Amino acid sequence: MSFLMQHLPILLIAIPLLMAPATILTKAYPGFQKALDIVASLVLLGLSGLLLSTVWDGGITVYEVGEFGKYGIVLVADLLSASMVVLSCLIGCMGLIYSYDYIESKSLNLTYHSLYNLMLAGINGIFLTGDIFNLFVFFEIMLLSSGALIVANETSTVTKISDKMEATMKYIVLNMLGSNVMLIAVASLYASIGSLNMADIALKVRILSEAGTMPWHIYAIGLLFIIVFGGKAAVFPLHYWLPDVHPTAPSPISAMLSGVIIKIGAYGILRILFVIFAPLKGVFGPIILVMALITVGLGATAAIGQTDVKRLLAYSSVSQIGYVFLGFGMGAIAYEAGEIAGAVLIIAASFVYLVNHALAKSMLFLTSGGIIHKAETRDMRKMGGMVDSSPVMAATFLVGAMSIGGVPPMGGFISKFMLFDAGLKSQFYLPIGIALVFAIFTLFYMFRGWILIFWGARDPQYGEYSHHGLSLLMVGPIVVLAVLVFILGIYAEPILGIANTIALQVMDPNPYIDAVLTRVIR
Amino acid sequence: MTTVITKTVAKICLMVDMLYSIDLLLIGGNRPGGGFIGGVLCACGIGLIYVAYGYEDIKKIWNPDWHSWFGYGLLFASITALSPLLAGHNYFRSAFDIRPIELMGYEVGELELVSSMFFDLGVYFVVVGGLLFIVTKVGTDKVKDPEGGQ
Amino acid sequence: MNNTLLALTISLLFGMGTFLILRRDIMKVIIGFGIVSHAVNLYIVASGVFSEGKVPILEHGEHVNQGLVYNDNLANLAAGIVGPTTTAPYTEFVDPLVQALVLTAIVIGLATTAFILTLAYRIYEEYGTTDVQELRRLWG
Repeated sequence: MSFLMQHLPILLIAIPLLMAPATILTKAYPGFQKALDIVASLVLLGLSGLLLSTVWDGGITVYEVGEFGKYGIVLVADLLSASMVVLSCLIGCMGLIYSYDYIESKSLNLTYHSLYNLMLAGINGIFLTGDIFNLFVFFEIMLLSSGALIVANETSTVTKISDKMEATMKYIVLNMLGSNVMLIAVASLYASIGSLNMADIALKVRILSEAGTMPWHIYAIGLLFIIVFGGKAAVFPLHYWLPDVHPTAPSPISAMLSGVIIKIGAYGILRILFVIFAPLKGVFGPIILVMALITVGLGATAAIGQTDVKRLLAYSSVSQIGYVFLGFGMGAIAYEAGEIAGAVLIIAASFVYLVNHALAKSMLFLTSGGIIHKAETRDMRKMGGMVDSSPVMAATFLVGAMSIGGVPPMGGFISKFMLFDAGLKSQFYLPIGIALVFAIFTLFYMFRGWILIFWGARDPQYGEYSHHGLSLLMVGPIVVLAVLVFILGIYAEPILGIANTIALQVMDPNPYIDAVLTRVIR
Repeated sequence: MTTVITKTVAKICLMVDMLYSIDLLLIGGNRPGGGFIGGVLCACGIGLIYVAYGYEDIKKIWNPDWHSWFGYGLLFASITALSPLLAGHNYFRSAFDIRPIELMGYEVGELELVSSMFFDLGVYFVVVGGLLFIVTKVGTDKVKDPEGGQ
Repeated sequence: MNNTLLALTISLLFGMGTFLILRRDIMKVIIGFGIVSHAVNLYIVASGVFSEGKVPILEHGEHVNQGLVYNDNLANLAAGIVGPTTTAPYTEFVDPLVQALVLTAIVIGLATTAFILTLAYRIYEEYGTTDVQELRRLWG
């Protein structure tokens, strides 16, 4: 047990990295390969839960990779990292179980498992690393494996392979540009601060700020990081790739992309701009706020006119990530104005929003995969009356739509309520007013989608729904996620407690710096 | 397929190339070199043979599954990175030792043993497998006539 | 003089890469990305040269026991001196860390370029063209 506790952070990266070759080499035995991978992902889920409870009880855990002493790479698991890892392992596990009946068997056996594991390793690495260049490396692992997963073949032939390749081209090209920008930012940061360790940089930036000798290029580096993470999270000027990429990907991958990968941008903003560039929060806050408001409006407005079910969900993701960023912007401005308590409340609210959106949107994407399976089209106008043939999917889609729309018993209500309440307490009347208008838009487009798909009757010219029911492997993950969304709505205290502590840690980076810099060097 | 000159040069190049790639792999511990660049060089040599003699002809003589090479390399590297955990150290910890080489009682040189060598070997196989997998996959596909033939 | 030339080279490469990225042909876009990533690599290397360019490899028998090579003086930082600085006996070496960073960046660049080239080839197979203006199935 002590062995497990000692190596807990690295195991979350090392196990998927070990599983990636293991699933390539067992490709001749598909049954064994699937069982192995599913056991590994369940183990990973358990380990991430263990990490969260360890961090919750024992404070920030620091792990030195390679024992290189002071200048080596460290993994730092604070509460923010640990809870993001739990989120990624949960959605990753559910998506993997779902894939078995959804992905075409040839592609599934040959490359899908190993790429999926590499993607999980990359995501967990991004959340856990304490070294800014290592963050870039894990970004690239995640980018390449997710890019290759988008072109994976499904059993249904609704999405053409040429569409997928075109979407992947957009995704890769835009993210390559993002990684080049990130490399410039990291190199400039190293050249001006002389360190790559996040805690070390945070300490030095604070000292520079207190001495009043902050060089001007630190501001420029911060702006570059906003471009990088804004591009990952699809915030306004860089949002246009998302509505093409998320719908064309296979549904489990869409769930991962919308549920976890765009949250990496939000995590990066919290980690880089709020922990590392802590004294500069006030400079970047208004920029994030304006970008977020435009994103909210643009995503919600575009989602209203969509007829493609997955494109609707993708535009909804754009809009919802805007709400998360709105919270970050408001939190930074409130902190700069001296309202620490208000800022903590706002950041906690946007973290709750992030978790709820991740669960609800990945569940909705998995459900949309089932809907496409049944209807054999992605056009919502050609559907209708599906509630008779698949009541389970109707119920889960309704749960998701209610959560995204913010209707009371679901998790989305709690998060929206908290965000708006916290914003009003800190007197952000105009941004909250705009956000409220588009929350009504959200309600409209989600329920419009539900009514188009499940109510009424299908026009006979589009044929019958396919009669073979969905297998348990596809329904199970959807139901688990739907139950979680529901539970977060009626019993939200644990997540609120975690979010509050995370917000306190984000607002005051001193425990993080102390935990990393005063560790025992072996 | 190609001219005699290309075939002959490719054969000679392959030998020099393989030797140099193994040399780069072995000296990677403390000189410029290492698993990655050695692997790229090895993949270039084999790729040259594929170009000179044609993939179909080479396939009859020697047809390894490059996808598996990738898998074995990654597995090897991953296990090497994990093995310090068994000795009570952290992930990726490396060890090295310098042993003198004795020949009939005289010390004639010394041998540096580095554990990160095994990781480099894994990287070598990953690079060779990955690059040649792409080369063979792309090389065997026939381009469809965009005007609607075939 | 050297620094000026280096800066000019980097900016020239950036300009060429950006010009190529804005072309309509996918292949030119990929070549543009290659050039931009080389410019970024040069930029990283340029940030690690201190005064002379000695190779930062210690020969056998020259083991260092002093511990810290890099200056970690926070008071120095407050006075406004930023960037990685070295202490007395090591000033003639270049910074080895940036070279490790560049090596990693090159490896990642190779993987990305290999992937995107394969993708471009498959797109050519499907569409019969590499002109971005003609790939418009997802438009609208």
